[in-house]
Amino acid sequence: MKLHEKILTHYLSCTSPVDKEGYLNKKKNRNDTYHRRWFVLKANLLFYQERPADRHLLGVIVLEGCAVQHSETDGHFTFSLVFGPGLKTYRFAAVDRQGQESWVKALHSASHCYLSMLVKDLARQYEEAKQQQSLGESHPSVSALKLPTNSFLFATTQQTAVVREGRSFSASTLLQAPSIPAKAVAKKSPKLWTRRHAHVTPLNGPAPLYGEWPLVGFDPLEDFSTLHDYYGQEVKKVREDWLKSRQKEEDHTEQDLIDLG
Amino acid sequence: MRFNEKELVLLSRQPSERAAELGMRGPKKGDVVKKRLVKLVVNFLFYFRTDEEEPIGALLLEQCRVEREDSQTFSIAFLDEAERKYVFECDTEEQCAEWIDSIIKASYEFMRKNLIYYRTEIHRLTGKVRPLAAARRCAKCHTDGASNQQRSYRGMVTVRFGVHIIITINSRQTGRLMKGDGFGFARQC
Repeated sequence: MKLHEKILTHYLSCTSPVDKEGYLNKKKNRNDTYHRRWFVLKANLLFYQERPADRHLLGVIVLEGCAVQHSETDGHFTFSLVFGPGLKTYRFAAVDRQGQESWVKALHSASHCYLSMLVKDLARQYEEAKQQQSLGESHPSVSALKLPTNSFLFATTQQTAVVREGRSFSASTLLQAPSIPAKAVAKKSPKLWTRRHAHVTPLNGPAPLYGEWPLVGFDPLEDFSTLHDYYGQEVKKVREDWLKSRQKEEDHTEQDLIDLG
Repeated sequence: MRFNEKELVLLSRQPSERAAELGMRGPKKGDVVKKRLVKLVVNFLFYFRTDEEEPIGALLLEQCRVEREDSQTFSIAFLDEAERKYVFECDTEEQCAEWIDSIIKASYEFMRKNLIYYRTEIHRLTGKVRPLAAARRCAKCHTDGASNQQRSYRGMVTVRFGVHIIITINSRQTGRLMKGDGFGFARQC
């Protein structure tokens, strides 16, 4: 069977996230010795080469239908990928216990089936959360929050050929959204207004209305690193604010000391 | 480049998301349309000569662009080479639309983005965060994934994203692989 290798090597070198990489020792055959190889886990594919910088890929293991097993007998932090009777068993040895455990964990959850199940579960949770929000007397502006995200989704789905799965539900909420903001303004308590004027998005509170929504232009389909940076900014801001307020406090205490002196 | 061919061939024989006989044409100039049994399994597209057991080839459906060519035809382009496309001819418009949809959704990267999207949205809606890798206890039955890598009577267990997964090997025995066992697959506790 022909495996179109160029597609795989291209995938390996592209910008999508690497799930795990590092040195591992791999046994060539059952009774052989271990060879040190550089492994890269991306999606449900485990690539290996001699060194990280190598252009030449030695091989790839497709991680579907295999079980990851700790081997305790060797005492060398070993583990293996078992595909079943009549099929291959790949044997590995990590450098230490930590390496062994982290690789076993990563390989356990690498399969496509696993991720598919996880996403289904999250989709269900998401639907439940949405229903609870619309049912309960939750902050009205959260429903208004649906408006900006919906419009982004619609904007982005035109660019990429992505077909919406859970997103089709957003279409119905879009129809309801216009009436809600009007109520939102009337119902907002003073407390909520203050929070709204804060520059930091309160994590557990209502989000600012559309005009102040910090994620304008945010594409939920962007890669993880961008998302990570975005959320990192929020944390940075909070930290800065906290440091500033601490400085003010310090100034205060200095003043007091001088008075006493 | 070495790969686990036998295991991949076995994968191609598993029940699939979508399988049909389509007209398939390769990307090179001069390639003609040939009737192939095309089968979508996880994020691979396998194609067989009709009535053959082993697929001719396997295409990894990551970093590819799927486009509608006309009412009954779609194409897949890889490696950012927009001109080099694999073209597939369907029987009906509906079938064509369904294939495009399935292929896009089959990509691991697509699912990963969905994962991030749902987590972000759930967090925004409920204010609750389920830490990704840190959740080592199953929210349902409280098994600790870290200590439970061994095989339980049901199979090997792991906890990831706060969800308890049991990877069984198609037999309910204590992890012994029985003859004729199929694939290991994950199910929740």
